[in-house]
Amino acid sequence: MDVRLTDEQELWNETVARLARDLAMTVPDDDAADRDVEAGWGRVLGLGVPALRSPALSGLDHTGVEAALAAEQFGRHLVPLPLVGQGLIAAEMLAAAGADDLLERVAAGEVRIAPALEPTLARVARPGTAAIAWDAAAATHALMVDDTPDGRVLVTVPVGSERVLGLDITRRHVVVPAGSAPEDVGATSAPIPPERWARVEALAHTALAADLVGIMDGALADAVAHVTERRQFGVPVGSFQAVQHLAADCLVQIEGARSCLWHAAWAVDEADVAEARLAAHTAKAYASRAGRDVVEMTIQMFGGVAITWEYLSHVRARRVWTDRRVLGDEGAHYSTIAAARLEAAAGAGVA
Amino acid sequence: MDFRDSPEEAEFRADLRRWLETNARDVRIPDDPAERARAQNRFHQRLYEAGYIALSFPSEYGGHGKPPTYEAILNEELAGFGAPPIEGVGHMSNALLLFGTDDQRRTLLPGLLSGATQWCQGFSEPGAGSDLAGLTTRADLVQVDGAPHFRINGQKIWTSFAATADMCFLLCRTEPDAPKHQGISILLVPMTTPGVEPRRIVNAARNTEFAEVFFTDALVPASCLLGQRGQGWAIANQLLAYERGPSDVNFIARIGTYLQSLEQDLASGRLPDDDMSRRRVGEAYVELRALQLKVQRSLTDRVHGALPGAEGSIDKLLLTRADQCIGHAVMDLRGADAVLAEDLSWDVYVWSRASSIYGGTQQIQRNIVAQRVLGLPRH
Ligand SMILES: Cc1cc2nc3c(=O)[nH]c(=O)nc-3n(C[C@H](O)[C@H](O)[C@H](O)COP(=O)(O)OP(=O)(O)OC[C@H]3O[C@@H](n4cnc5c(N)ncnc54)[C@H](O)[C@@H]3O)c2cc1C
Repeated sequence: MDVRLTDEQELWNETVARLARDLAMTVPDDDAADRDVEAGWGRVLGLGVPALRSPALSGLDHTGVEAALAAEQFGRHLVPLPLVGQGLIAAEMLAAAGADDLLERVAAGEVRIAPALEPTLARVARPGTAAIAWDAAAATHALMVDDTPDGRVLVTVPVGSERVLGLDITRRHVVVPAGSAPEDVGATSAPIPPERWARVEALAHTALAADLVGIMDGALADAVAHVTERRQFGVPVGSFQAVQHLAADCLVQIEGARSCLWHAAWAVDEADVAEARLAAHTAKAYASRAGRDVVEMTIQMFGGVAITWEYLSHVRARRVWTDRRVLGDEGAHYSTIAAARLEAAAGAGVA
Repeated sequence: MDFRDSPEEAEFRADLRRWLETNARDVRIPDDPAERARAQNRFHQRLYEAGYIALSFPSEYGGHGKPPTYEAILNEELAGFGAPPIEGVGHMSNALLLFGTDDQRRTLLPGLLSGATQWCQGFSEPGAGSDLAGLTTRADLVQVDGAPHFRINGQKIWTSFAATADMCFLLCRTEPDAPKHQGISILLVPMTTPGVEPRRIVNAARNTEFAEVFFTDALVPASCLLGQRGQGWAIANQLLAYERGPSDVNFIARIGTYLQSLEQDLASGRLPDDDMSRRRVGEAYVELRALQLKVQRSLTDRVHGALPGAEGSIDKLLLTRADQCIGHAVMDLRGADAVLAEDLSWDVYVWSRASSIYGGTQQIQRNIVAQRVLGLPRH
């Protein structure tokens, strides 16, 4: 057991952090998600992100931790680019299906593919149904999944033109009308066997958890800086115990979330499928609950300015509420975890 | 990053599992508190004899010289198995190891680690709880028959296991004229010393585990001093940092055991199995995992040479979250049974409330995190 980032992982983390700082949303901006994707996406591709999860294209194995670190840094800096949806989740689906040709074109920026989610946002959508292409800035296509006897088969459909004006101003969502006909974008793919699909889901939950951890961490850093400077009653408000305790509670929950995240990110590739799934549900559950609580506490630390358009607090709250909902909030994951644990308890015959 | 066991860790884990299968299948956790304390001590001693206690301590004191991560494996396996928790002595043992003389370590550590000698921790006083450095129990250096002794007078309170303990890890004031924090020392006091008198306190679950301890002209040889005179505050803080990093005490295993028993009751139909109940055990599992995984990170840091410091308060606060989450789940899921009978559920619940009080309250831990970890200004 050695639960630290390796030197290479530290280096990667710094590289991603530098890029994320460059691409950060620093003032609330409704147009950034469309505007920045033009120049910014190329830099994300330059990092090698959509190709990361395909060993054939990236030359790398076991990149769950690297994927999580990238998502965390992009979350921390509220980067308005589709790293999680297009760069990680859709790319992971393509990698799992062995669609390396298509993934290569995605990595070159020729095609832009976002995951299609059911309108509840709880699951990846099936072909033929109405769906929402999530994190779809500049996306040309959306990725759906057909559940066949041979495994999960990926289907690409063109995205429509109707926007969904959701809360999260750092991301774009686009309607995929019911009955959209598949459009072959050049490469077919093999069915994804159940075990591999479980890892796809684990990676998706982990990426969202990482985004949440980053948002929380950025929120606390900003709030701590604010309460250190802002003075009332002749002293910094951060010297008041009520404020200090909010900050301390934030850090405790962030460290709890980060601990679950690291385990999930490692387990995606390294652990057996059951452990990988459980770890990912755990990370997504913890980060979904803590994400809301931490951002709310930092809003309280800011005081009135947190309720203005001008400050970033609402941008964080918008992204957190969206991340919580996508692929299930903590309640959904608690149920799934309990189902797995109770099955094991019953199976062990310990009654 | 690697959460996997090294080959040696894996072998250790497998051996431990086998040992638990053969030796602990029928070990029950008794409902009666006094019985439970005895059963826990017996089980601790059996684990010790089998070689599973004091894993990260040097072998000359009865330990096994392994990295601290093995303590996490022990905790995980005990929790996974539903075994009784071990005695929480890691924090006192670490302080003794760090600050004791060779002689003190040789004579005192093996008994403390094995559970053969029972220890209590005499810190809190009626007038010194959170403000521990305000303690007034005095120990004056006097000559008796030409040999230096400390004469102790004062009162301790909330001293867990004092009535049954053999030894007391006592925080007292030896330099009355020194500033508050600098006049404190630690004495290792035999509870059989004349003038040392514990009086049991009945707790909210009718358990008499903690006590008041009165010291009236109790004389101990000066060799009972741990470290230097006036070093007591520093030692106490180091000890508390170990206590707050919950791997050194048995709490993770305890919470894991309660969670397992809830899960089994749901799986076997002893408790109604609906989605609401499932969400509650799922939530408790997630809180417990966050604690366990954070502790693994802290232990990794310790393997690489860091002494536990202010960050340990983060672990303690995660422990409190997990403990109180399971405490509520136990009471709620057992429904009317939890209020129509007074049994282990109530005990679990009472302990979960204590978890934000003992070892420094939740508020004190948050002060530490805010000021010493986040660097917020003091008032
Ligand atoms: C089950 C149990 C076992 C224990 N075992 C032992 C033992 O073996 N040995 C031992 O020495 N002690 C033991 N204790 C005592 C424990 O360490 C103290 O209870 C604890 O430190 C708090 O002190 P207090 O009870 O005097 O509360 P107080 O200090 O009076 O606190 C009362 C309230 O005021 C708050 N408060 C106090 N100061 C501050 C501050 N600066 N900022 C914000 N809030 C503040 C506290 O958080 C708390 O909510 C045990 C306690 C329990 C419950």
